[in-house]
Amino acid sequence: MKVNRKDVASAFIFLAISGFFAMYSLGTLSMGRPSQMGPGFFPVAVAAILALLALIILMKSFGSEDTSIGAWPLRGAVFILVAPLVFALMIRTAGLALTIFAISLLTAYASQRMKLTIALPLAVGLAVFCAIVFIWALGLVMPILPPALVY
Amino acid sequence: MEFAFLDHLGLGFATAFTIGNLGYCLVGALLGTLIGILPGVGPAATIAMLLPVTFTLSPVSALIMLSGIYYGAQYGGSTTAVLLNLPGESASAVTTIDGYQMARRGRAGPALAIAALGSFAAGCFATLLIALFAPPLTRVALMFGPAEYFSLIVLGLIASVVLARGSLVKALAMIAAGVLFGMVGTDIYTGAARFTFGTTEMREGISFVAVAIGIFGISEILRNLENERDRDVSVQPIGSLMPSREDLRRSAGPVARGTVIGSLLGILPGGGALLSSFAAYALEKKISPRSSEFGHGAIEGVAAPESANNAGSQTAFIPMLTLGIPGNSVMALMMATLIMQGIVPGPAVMGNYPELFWGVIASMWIGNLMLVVLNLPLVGLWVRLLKVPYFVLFPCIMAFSAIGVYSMALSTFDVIYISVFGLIGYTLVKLDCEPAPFVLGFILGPMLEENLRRAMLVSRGDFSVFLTEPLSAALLFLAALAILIVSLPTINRKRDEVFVED
Repeated sequence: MKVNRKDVASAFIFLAISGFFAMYSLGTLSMGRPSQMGPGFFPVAVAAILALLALIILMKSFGSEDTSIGAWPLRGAVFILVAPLVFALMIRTAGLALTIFAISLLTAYASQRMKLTIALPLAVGLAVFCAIVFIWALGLVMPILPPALVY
Repeated sequence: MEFAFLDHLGLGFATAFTIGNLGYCLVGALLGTLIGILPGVGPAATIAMLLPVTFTLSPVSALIMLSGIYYGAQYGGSTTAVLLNLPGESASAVTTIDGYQMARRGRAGPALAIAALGSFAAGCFATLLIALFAPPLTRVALMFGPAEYFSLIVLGLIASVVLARGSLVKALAMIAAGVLFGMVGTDIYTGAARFTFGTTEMREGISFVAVAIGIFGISEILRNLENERDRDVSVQPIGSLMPSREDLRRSAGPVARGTVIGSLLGILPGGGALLSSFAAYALEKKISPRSSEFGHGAIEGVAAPESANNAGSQTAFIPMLTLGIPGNSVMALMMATLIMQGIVPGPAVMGNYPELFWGVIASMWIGNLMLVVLNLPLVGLWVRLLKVPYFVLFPCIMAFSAIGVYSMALSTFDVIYISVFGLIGYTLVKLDCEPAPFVLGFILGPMLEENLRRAMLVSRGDFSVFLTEPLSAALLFLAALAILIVSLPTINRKRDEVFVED
């Protein structure tokens, strides 16, 4: 039997989202009355609609043609998605310049074609550029260099 | 009585013609052209990235610059479409068909000139249209109560997916998911913390900019990384820019029709630049006496869609500025800009901040003029940008995004949302779910809930109020009708065809 696996997968993701919001609301938030809705009323209603839509997607997935999902750029995804986490960890202690240098190197290597001779100047250039533009020109309040070193 | 609009435009030009605002308009137009030319960097991601920077500007300047990026991208997109057979911008996809064929015949110059001039004509018309139609719409919207507003938002959300491509059910599910994520944070009525896992960071809600960057920016980068290959930079020579008299004569009709179609579709939710260009191309192909030339370098096939996408990108501002309802994801970002600046988008904007409203509209006309100048004589310069390899671009995008999101509240938590929504967004895009409805749901969700609760308070808990108030009932009826019509099998097939280039 034909099944569109993309539709099945998206239906389950929507069901999971719906389930989370419904359970959280029912467990911790008050529903109130229609004339005085509590914080849980609307989320539960929308979650119910989402669950219904997910079930329709699931039903329609049976009997429809499967389509290719294409390549997953695993290496790229890991490097790109880790970069904001590294930024979040570094920015307070390492300052802007080092942080940008680090995440630029990291994201540059998301591309399989990156070479050190490109990545290094790019990371240095971006670090300098961001320091100039964001801190000197736009006046954002962030340390450029590691605060612990400067003081 | 509508001669008041001349006064309004006067105020607008006075606002837009300050040195500072002219500068921001130019920066926006330049950036827009830049990202329009570069394939793989779209206006939604760029505007999301720059949104935090505009925090330091006045609301007028911020909106002038960001809107310049949106319509500027329509100009830039056509350059790549004609010279490289690649849509620099999704709304230029249809221009590649005849534009590139013209370029291969050594007529790239006239194609670019007609695209720019057509866009300019469309831009002027759309600017006038906004000035004429915004005030009456605002007056209607000012009479809306919470029930009407609730129904209007429902209609806006549903119409936005009806006109978009892809599965309707999935798009509706994306809206619902967006609405749910938009509710994270403190409930404004009761002060209860919702979906925060007891953390204080999440009580502020999820940063909209981080969501937009994750959903548009990150998933765009990942999609480009799926298939890394050298960009074919064998750019066609441009030659003389001057269109012949024949070109001009043949383009006049398509430009006019494209402008009208674009202006109309731009106003509708879900419309905007993309749909406008496809529809205008389809129409010209159908009615042109030279329809057999389409696909082989017919200038009509460049003139119509390029005029339409520019008109559509401008009239898309009408529902956002007058009703506070964004019809597409770029407008959702514009709305977020206003909210950040402490302005509640909606019918009150025009009365309370006339210089903002009219200044932005006047700046569009100025920006269009700048774009013609920027794009035509300087086209050779822009084309060189196409030689920048993509793997140099995305580290820049990541760095600017992270700094931008962090700078808004100095919250490292917000930066992490980029990854979270990047992953969610990319996964769903892979599963053929369009990301735009999610973002619209996210930003309209809180408004939807607030108006529902207020309406129920007024009606003492009687749900029938939405159907007994005639205006609200009419809006909901339209929404139901839209879903019904699109669900019909024949229409559904037609809807897919509009987006298929043949």
